Amino acid sequence: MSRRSLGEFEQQVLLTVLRMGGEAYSVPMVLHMEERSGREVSQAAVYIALRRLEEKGLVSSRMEDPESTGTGRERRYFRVEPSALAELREARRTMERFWDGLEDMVEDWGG
Amino acid sequence: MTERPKVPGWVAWVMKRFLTPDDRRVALSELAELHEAWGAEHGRREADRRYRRQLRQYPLRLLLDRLPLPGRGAGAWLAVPSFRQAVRSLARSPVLTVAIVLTVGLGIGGCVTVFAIVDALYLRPLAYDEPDRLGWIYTDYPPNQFPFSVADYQALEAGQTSFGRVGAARFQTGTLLSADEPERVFYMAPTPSFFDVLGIRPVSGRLPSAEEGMDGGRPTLLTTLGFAQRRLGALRTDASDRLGTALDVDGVTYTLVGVLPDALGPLVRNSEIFPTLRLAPPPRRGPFFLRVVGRLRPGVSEEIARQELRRLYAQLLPEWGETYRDGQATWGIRPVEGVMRGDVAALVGLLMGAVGLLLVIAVVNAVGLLLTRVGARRRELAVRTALGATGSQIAGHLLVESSLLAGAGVGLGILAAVAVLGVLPMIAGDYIPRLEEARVGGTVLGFTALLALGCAGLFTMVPSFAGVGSGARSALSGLSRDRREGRAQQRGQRVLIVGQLAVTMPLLAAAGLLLSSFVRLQQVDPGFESAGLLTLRVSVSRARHPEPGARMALWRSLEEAVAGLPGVSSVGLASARPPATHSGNTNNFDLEDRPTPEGENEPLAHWASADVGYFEALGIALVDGRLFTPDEEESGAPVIVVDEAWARRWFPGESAVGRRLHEGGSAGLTTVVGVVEEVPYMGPGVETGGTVYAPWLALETDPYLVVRTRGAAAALTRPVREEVGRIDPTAPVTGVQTGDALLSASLAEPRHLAIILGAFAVVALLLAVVGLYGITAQRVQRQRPDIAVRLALGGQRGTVLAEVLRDGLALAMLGLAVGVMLTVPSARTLEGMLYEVAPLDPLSLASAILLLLTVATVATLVPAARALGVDPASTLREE
Repeated sequence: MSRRSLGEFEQQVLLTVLRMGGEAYSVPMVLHMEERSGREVSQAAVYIALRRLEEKGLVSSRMEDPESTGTGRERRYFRVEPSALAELREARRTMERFWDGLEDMVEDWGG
Repeated sequence: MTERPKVPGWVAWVMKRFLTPDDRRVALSELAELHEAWGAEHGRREADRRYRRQLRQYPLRLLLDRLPLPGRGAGAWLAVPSFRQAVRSLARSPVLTVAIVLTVGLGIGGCVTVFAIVDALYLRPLAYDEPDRLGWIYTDYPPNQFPFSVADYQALEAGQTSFGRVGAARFQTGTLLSADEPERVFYMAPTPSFFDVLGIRPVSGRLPSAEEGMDGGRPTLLTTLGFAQRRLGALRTDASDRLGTALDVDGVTYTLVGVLPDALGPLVRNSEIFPTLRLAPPPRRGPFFLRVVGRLRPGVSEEIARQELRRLYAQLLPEWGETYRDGQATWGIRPVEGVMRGDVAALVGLLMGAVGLLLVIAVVNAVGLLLTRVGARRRELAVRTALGATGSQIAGHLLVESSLLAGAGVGLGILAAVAVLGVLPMIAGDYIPRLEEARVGGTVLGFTALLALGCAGLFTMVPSFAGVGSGARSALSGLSRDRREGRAQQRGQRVLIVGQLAVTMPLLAAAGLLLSSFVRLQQVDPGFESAGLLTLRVSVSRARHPEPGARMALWRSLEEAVAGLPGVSSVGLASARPPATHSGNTNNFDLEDRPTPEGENEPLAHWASADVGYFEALGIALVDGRLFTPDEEESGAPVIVVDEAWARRWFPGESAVGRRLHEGGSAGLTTVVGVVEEVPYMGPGVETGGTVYAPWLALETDPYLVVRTRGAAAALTRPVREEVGRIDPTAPVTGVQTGDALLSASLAEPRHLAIILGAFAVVALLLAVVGLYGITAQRVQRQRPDIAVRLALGGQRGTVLAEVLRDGLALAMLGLAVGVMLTVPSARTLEGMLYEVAPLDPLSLASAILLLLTVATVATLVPAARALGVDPASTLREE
C-alpha cells in the first residue's frame, strides 16, 4: 500500500479521538467536530474515515456489547495507536515548515 | 428511545451491499444516538431533518470510497470487494481478460452498429414534417415503377384534390461554372413547391415563387448553407449576405434566392445546389424523369388518393393517346417512408441475424473462458472459503469481476460501433439508404444497455454454473482432483460448445451460399472485353455548344485525336457504359409488324446513343446485319442497332434486321439495321428486355469515351485528358475507370456481402474450435493418470485415441444437428441475394458441414494425440 500523509479530515478525526481521551465512538466525535468547525459533519464520513485509518493501523477498534452500554445500543470504539501520534506530529511539522516566516503575512494565524 | 424517521429503502439497499452486517448495525445504532442528542438540543424536527440528511450521506460516501482511486486500500470490512481489487485480480491473467473483453467488444460492436442502421431506417422518423402524410407518386407499370413526365406532372398538379400540394424534382448531373473551373456536379432541380411539400424552410431568403417555376420565369436557385459558406464565401451564419449571387449551371445564370439547411433528409441526397425547374408545356407525353412527392391533405387516406390518381390517369390517357398508349399502366402512390427504406430489409435482416449469432457466440465463449478461470481458481476459492469467506462474498467478488469485464466489453463495442459508423457511409452508402443518419444515439444506447444487461446476466451465472460456494469442502478434502466437482463445470462447458457449433453452422452456410453465388456472378460474361479498356466521361456545356451538328463535329475530332495517340487501337462514344451504367433512357415503341392493341401497354426498352467505335472498342460483336454508316451517324438517321436479347424477345427464330417500329410515340418509322451481342447493363442475370442503340450522339452533351488500348489502359489517362482539354478547355473529365475496375466495382456488393458473412463465419468457427479444443485438452489433462494406468497395464493407444475422439465428435455432431435445423429457415432469407444458387444448395451446405466436421476433428485430434504422448511411468510418479 502506498504511503501517504494524513489528510486534513483524517487529522481532525484523530485529534478528536485524542481529545475524547484516546478512545471514542462516532457520536460524541461528530458532536464535538460540529462544535469546533461550526459546520455539520457527516457521521458516515467520520465512520468510514475511522475504518480506513484502522486499515492503515493508525487506530484499532472494538465492538461494545449492547448490554454493557446500558442503552441497548451497539457502538464501535476506536483507539488511537502510537503510530498515529507519529503521523500527526509529522503532519503538523510539515505544515509548520510551510508556515515558517509567513505568520506575519497571514494575519489571522492561529484564529 | 425516541421515534426516528424510517431508513429509505435505497439507502438500506446500498448499505446492505457495501457494509458487513456488523458495521451496518453499528452505523445505524450510532446514528440513532446522534438523533437523540440532536433532539435534546435542537428539538425533534431539526433532529429528524439532520438524521435524514446523515442517512443519505451513507450511500454517497460509500460509493465515493469505492471508486477505484489510486492508493485506496483493500477494505476487508466491506461486503463487496473494491473495483481495484477486481481489476488487480483480472490483471493477473491478462491474456484471458483481453480475450474476453475483445470477444464481447466485437459482439456488442457488431450488434450496436447494425442496430444503429436499423434505428436510422426503421425507428427514426424522416427529417420532414409529418412524414407519414408524404407520398411518392409514380407511374405504375407492373412490375416497374417509373417517374413522371412533365405532361403527367402538370396534369396531376391541375387535377388533384387529395394533396395539399405536390412537388417534383429532377436529378441530374451538370456543369457548375464558378469563378475558377468548370465542375461536374450532381444536383437536384426541384419545382418551387418541392421543399414546401417536404416541410423544409429556408434558413434565409425564400423558396422560389410559382412564377419562377414556369417556362420563361426568372432563373432562381437555392443552395445548402454549407455550400453558401464553403463555395460562395458567406460570412453571416445564415448566409443571407450571399442572397442575390449569380451562379452558372449548365450555361444558365441563376440568382440565389434562398439558403436551405444542410440536413435535407434522404430524398435530397448528394445535392447542394437546387436550380428551380422551369417546366415548359411538353410537345409529347414522354420522357419520364420527374420524381413526384405529395403531402396528403388531413383526413385523406392513401386509398382515396390512389383512387383519385387512377381517375386522373384515365382522363389523361386520351389526351396523349396519339403518342403514347399504355392503358394498363396507371399512377400509384407509396408512403415516402417505405420507399426510403428501400429493398434492404433482407440485407439488414441478414446482418442483424449474423451479428446476433456472433454476439451469442462471443458471450457464450466469454462465459466459457470465465468458467475455465473459475475452474483454475477452484482451489484458491476453496482456501478462501475455508479461511472464513462466505459463499456470497466469493460470489460477490466474481460478480464484480464479471461486471467489470462486461462493462469493458460494452465500452469497447460502443467505440467500435462509432468508428465503423463513421466510415460505413463511404463504403456501403450506395446500397443502404439513410446510412449517414445512423449514429449511436439515445435509442441505440438504450439497446446497448439491454445487451449489456443480458451479457452481465449471463456472466453472473458463471459462479453458479461452476457451483462456487457450495462444495468448498469437497474441493479441499479431495484436494487435487475431485472429479465430481469438475463434472458440473464440464457439463456447462459442453452445452456451450454445442451451442457455439450450432450457431456457427448457419453462418458458414450463408457465407458458402454467398460465395458460390459471387463466383457464379464472376463467371457471367460481362458482354465486353475489360482488359486494356479505358473509359471516361466528357461533358460539354450546352450553352457553349448549342448546335447538335457542331457537337457531332466536336466528338469526331475528339475521337480522331484520341485514336492518334500511341497505344490506342480503337475509340468510341456512347451514352452508356458497361457493365453497370445504362443511359437511363427508356423509350416506348410500337412494332410495325405487331402493333400494340388498343388499351394495352406499348413495350419499353433501354435506349442508348452509340457510334460504331463504341462496339469496336468494347469488343461487342455484330451478329446480324450491319452497324451505322458514317452518314447515319452524322444525320442521326432513323436506324437502330438492337442487341440479341431484344431480337430474341421480339423476333424469336427470325432475323430482326429490316424490321421497323415507331419509337417514343413518333409517327415516323425507324429501321433495325443490325443485331449485336448482349451486354448485361443491369448486372449479370438481370433481365433487361434488350437494349436499343441509336446514332444520336449529336444530342448528347456528356457521353462516355471508350478507348481500347494495346497496353496498360491506365497509362493513357493523362494523354486522353490532354486531348479533351485541347478540344474544349472548359469540358470536365469525370469517372475515369479502366475496364477491369468497372467490372470489379459492378460486383462490389455481392463481394462485400460474401466477405462480411465469410468474416463472421470464420470468427464464429474459430471461437467454436478454440472452445472444442479447450474442453478436449482439459478432459485429457484430467484423465492423464487414468490413461497412464491403462497404458501401463497394456492398454492400446488406439482405443484411448478413439475414446477421446468419439467424445469430441459427439459434441460436434450434436452441434451440427442443431445447426442444420437453424440453417434451413435462415438460408431462406438469403433467397433474394443469391444468383443461380438455391438457398438450400446441397453443395454449399455439404461443404459447410464438411468444413465444420473437419475442423472439429482436428480440434479434437490434436489434444487426443497429445494424450497418447503420455509416458506412463513419469505420470504415475507425479501422482
